Amino acid sequence: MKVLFGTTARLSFAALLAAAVAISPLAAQEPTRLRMTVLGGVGAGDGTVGAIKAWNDANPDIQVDLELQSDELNWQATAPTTMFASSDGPDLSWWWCSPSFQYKEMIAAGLLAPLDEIYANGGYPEGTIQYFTEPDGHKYGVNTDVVWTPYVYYNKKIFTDLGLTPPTTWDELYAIAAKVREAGFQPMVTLYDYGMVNHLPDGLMMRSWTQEEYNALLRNWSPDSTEAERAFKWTDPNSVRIFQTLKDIVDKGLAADGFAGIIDDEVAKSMFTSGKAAMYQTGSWGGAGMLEQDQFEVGYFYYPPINEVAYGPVGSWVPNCYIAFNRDKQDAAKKVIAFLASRDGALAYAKASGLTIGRTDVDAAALAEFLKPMVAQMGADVAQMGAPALYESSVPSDILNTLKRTVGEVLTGVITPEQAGEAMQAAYEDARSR
Amino acid sequence: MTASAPSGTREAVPPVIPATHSRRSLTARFRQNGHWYLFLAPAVLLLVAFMGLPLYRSLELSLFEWKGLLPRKWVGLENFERLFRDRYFWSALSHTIVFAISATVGTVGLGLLLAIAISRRVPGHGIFRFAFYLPVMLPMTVVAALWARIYEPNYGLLNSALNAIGLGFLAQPWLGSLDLALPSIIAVCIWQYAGFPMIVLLAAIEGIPEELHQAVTLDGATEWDRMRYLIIPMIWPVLVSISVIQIIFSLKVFDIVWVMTKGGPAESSSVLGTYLYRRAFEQQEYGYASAVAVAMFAVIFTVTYLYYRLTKVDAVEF
Amino acid sequence: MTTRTSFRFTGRLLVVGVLLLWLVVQVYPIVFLFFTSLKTDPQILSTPFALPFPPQLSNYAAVIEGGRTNQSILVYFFNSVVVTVGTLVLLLAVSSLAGYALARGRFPGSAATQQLFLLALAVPVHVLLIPIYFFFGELGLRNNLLGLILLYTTLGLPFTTILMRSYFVSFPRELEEAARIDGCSRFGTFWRVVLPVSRGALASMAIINVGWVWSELFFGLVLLDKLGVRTLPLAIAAYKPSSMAQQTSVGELFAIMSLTVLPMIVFYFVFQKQIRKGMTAGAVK
Repeated sequence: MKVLFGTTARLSFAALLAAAVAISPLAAQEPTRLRMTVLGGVGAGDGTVGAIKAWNDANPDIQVDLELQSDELNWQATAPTTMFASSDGPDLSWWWCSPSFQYKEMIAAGLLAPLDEIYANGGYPEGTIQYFTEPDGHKYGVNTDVVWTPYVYYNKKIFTDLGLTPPTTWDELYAIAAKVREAGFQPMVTLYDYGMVNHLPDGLMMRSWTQEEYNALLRNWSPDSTEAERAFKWTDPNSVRIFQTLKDIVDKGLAADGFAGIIDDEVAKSMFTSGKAAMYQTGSWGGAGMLEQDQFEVGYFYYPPINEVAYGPVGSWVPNCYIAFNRDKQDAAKKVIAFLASRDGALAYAKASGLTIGRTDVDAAALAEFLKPMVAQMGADVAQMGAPALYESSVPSDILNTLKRTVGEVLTGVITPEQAGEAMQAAYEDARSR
Repeated sequence: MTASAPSGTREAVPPVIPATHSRRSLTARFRQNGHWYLFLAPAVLLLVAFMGLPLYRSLELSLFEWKGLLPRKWVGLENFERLFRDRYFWSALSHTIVFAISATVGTVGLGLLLAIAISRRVPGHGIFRFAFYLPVMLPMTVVAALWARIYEPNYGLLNSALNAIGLGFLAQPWLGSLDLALPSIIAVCIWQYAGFPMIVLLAAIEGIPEELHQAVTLDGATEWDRMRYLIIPMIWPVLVSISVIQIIFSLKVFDIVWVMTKGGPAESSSVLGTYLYRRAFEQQEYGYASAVAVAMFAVIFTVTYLYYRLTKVDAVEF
Repeated sequence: MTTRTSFRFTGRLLVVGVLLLWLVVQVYPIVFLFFTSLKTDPQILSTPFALPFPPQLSNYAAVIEGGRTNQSILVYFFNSVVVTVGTLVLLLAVSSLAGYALARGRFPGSAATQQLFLLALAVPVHVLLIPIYFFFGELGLRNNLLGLILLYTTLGLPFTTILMRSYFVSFPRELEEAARIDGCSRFGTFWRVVLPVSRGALASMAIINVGWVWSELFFGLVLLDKLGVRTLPLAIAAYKPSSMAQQTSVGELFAIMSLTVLPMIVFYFVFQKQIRKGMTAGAVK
């Protein structure tokens, strides 16, 4: 009975297989359906929706179903270990290709498909290519857009009424803060959790470290770092100055009252848009939405440079990326990403998101057609000033978290800038010994 | 209905199984008792699958280093050694204890005063009783999100109100202040939950026989004496019991802190629940976070179990 | 009664004054919540104390319509109702069965089982979070309302079972014995005789549990990461404007909070006596 059943089963399986082969030309007309995840509610979500729509309209044979994720923090923090690793996970995704978002772990676990061929046609700046090249020689992510952190948006009406102009030094900025306070406004509002303790120090590093220091201190936490790199320390004067500037931002009244309680960007944003605060600090991703205001005109400036020798005037953040998962449909997923990364895909993304794209081979005229003048200007700035990787995208999550905590303690006066430098140096030495 | 009921009226533990049982065969015993196992099966199954097993896995995971994707690495007791040296863990633990004690003293103390006041049949006592319990019914996430907006320093209700009545100098950056964040959260907890001990204590006070009140009045006692020598001693067991319940409940605090400050600023309001959550789900240190969970388990389990053993949980009336 | 009215007049006045003050402190924030949900964002920011006249329903319209990243609030609402009702039904069924067995059964292991429930009562839920998170992933119970129902039932089980047991201990045996003599099975007796007379106790159990189930956040936060399965507390904890172009959404958040609170307030208005009684019974053991 058992044998008979086994034979029957095998026979019917063979018959099914034959039938499947026979009807397969017919089946090919059914579109391949891919599942893609993206964080909604931010520019990247808007951009990806626009670019995927362009793909779906032009490619009936491969259709992408986009799943927008709502909660920024939860989804970003947990998706790799759960959604991406699970057998019913998506085929491709928008993601942060940085160590603090488990990008390296996903590569090590074999979750991602290499995307080398997409880079073959060029079009990316050298810094981006270096950033995405892994020790195994492959590239597993494709950059979507360029994001900068050190922007301050300001209310032009308040500035004009008080006779203020954008500052070029920190002291000028502190003087502006004092005048703004005198006039009854809050000076600078910013999200505390990810802004003040994370992106703010990121931007300050660019302005305090020399290029040599910068390159060394983004790497020398690693057990593989060289002795020469390790000669640069968090306790050096230029490192401590990062924390000193943070302390000054509070002590000299630039940060809004109760700044450490603003854990919701909505609160920061609404204080700025309702005219209660003169300046709002967020990254370039805020630009598209922020620059359109009914009540008043918005301008922007960069954090003032601290000294002449600092590494470039501004920094950028390249890890915003697309990834394809190492699953059955990875070939189709790669085709979609090849489009997203192409000139047309990037322009569709820019049009929908209002963000500056990561490719450098798109002429300014084409971009200007899609972007608001001020955002296009931001893009031109990036092209001119280069795109080195930022701290956040270069260190592992435990070091990044030590930085966030340490910065928080400096901002709230728990520890001194010197102690903060020592705490970071200790975290580096701890990481090296592991 | 209370822990004050003399023990023995209702047994906490069923009597010892009669010796006759042991003489019968296993099958006979099962035939007689089998249905009880079926009655218990769904509950025991759920408890084993979703409580027992996870508990075991948590203990196990605390001995590993694991970020969720790659194979986990055995580290023995290293996580606990790290825990011991981790000042953020100690501060989260001390905040948790401060939170539990202050919230308990606050809710029970205020609840007691409200209960005594209302028990005096003041005009409108029905409305007071109704309104003071109302916040207890609200979901904590809503209460926390609402109060975060009330505390907001620039356009929040609290500072606006202080400015409006000329007390502007008292305006503070409540949740943004290192010293005020935790007390501000505790105040919200008291605001929400004072009604709970109030209702329970009110029932206890109303259970005091009228004759005792009359006897005290005949003695010419003042209101203070009445509270000190009659009410408090009579409701003492209930007072103790509700306090312990509040402590256990507060040690598990998470929602209110998570929604209001996420433990900030600079970890000044972090509690064990939020610390564990951030370590696990923001930093993917699942092994280390499990060690935090195990430490938390040790504290709360001991307190709770001792309490339930000491005060027979089962005496209750409907 | 004389003793209770012998409070001196000024003292009484003072007490009433303090109670009235506390009444304002307790009730005004709740009123403020509803008022704010009926205002536009500029109104909320510029005149927080003003009454919402004319009331603006735009926030409610916006959250009911939803956006790309926030589903219609009705979806969250529906999910919360499903989880709450599902949990209560399952919890009452499982805990009354178990409570009855613990109250009536004298069988090998009954004392140990009783201890098991007491031990389970003392387990803080936090220790379960990480394993449950991965375990539910393996079982396909993440992003699944059934998973949440099973979990919440388990979490409510120890306490509810112990209370049900003590209720059944005081339940008169005569009724059951009569039914048994009539040839009813144990389950038949329980189902047809015991349960129908225990409606009051079951209602109390539902009341004790409805609040925490409706507002549970700790597990919901990690188990529901997909849109479409989320519950109301998550909508509040993770509310984001639906696109970058939208400036602020303070009013929308207040509309969601109002919709979350409303069922509990209505519930309290209708069942206030039973609730106070149930909570007193549940609290003081």
